[in-house]
Amino acid sequence: MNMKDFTHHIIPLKNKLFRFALRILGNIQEAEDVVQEVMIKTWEKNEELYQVKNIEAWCMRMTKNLSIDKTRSKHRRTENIDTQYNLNAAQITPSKQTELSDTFNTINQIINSLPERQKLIIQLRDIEEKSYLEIADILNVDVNVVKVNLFRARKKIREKLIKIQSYGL
Amino acid sequence: MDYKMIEQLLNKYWNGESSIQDEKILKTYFSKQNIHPDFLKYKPLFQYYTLAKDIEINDKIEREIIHDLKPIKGSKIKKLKYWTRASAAAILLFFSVWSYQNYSMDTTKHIEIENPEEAYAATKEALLLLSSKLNQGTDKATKGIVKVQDVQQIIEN
Repeated sequence: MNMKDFTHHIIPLKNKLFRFALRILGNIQEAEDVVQEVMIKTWEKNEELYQVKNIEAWCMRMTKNLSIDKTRSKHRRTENIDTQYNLNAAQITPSKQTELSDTFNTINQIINSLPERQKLIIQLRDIEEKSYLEIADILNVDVNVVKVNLFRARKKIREKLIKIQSYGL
Repeated sequence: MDYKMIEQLLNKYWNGESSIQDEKILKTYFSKQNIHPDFLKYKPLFQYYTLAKDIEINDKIEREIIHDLKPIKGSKIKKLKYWTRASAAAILLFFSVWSYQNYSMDTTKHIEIENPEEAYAATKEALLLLSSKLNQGTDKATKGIVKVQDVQQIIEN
């Protein structure tokens, strides 16, 4: 893979990888570091890439693994989770920021409170719009595991959403 | 959009039976202004999905990545200039010719026999030695085949 191929096929994955890492880490700085690491490692594995069937899934797997490694690291910075979410919202919609950031943060917290696997499946399916097969490939699990966990995750989200709404969002 | 249709799509969604296309329709529906009051409670969720997909990494990260890639661009061999590669090839060629000449001088025996009878005898001896070595080979091969046949018989029986 030359520089041209790399900028055409790997670099455009940066946002998807970033969102995935951010879902696991909940920290922008750390998620950025992971994306950089994934990109550089992919570049270094250059020759091996020709044998990889689905480069995107391959990069997503590496992002997941490196992010999880980071969460286990002892030197982890523990920052205020709420401020990070506000930052996220600010990045997306500068104009409607105040209007949306509250509801955005509420849903973000609901999703992040899910068990790890369910959280990642929601990220990959409902946000990234990936097929069950792709999700199974990225998470290295059976397709049925994906389906069952997606069902459970959505059920929990719905319950919490209705509970919150009854108190006013 | 049709009330019944959205209701059906939502049911499919909560049951984990919706397709990506169904989910896209729901996201589009909830991104609009006139949402039926019955479905309003789900608006934040589907709106969130759409917004969360727009989160982008800081632009400076891409520049940093590209910058970090440059030092390892291509293999080290490619970086060597042509004259370095040419001189390396010349040295290699010279060395291989030189070592080949040395090797052939050391190992090849030059025997010169002037008497024709002696020469004949020496040649005969050499050929006999060669044929005996060849026979040894065939003997061993035959023994091998016999053994294989024995084993085959044992297996078959």
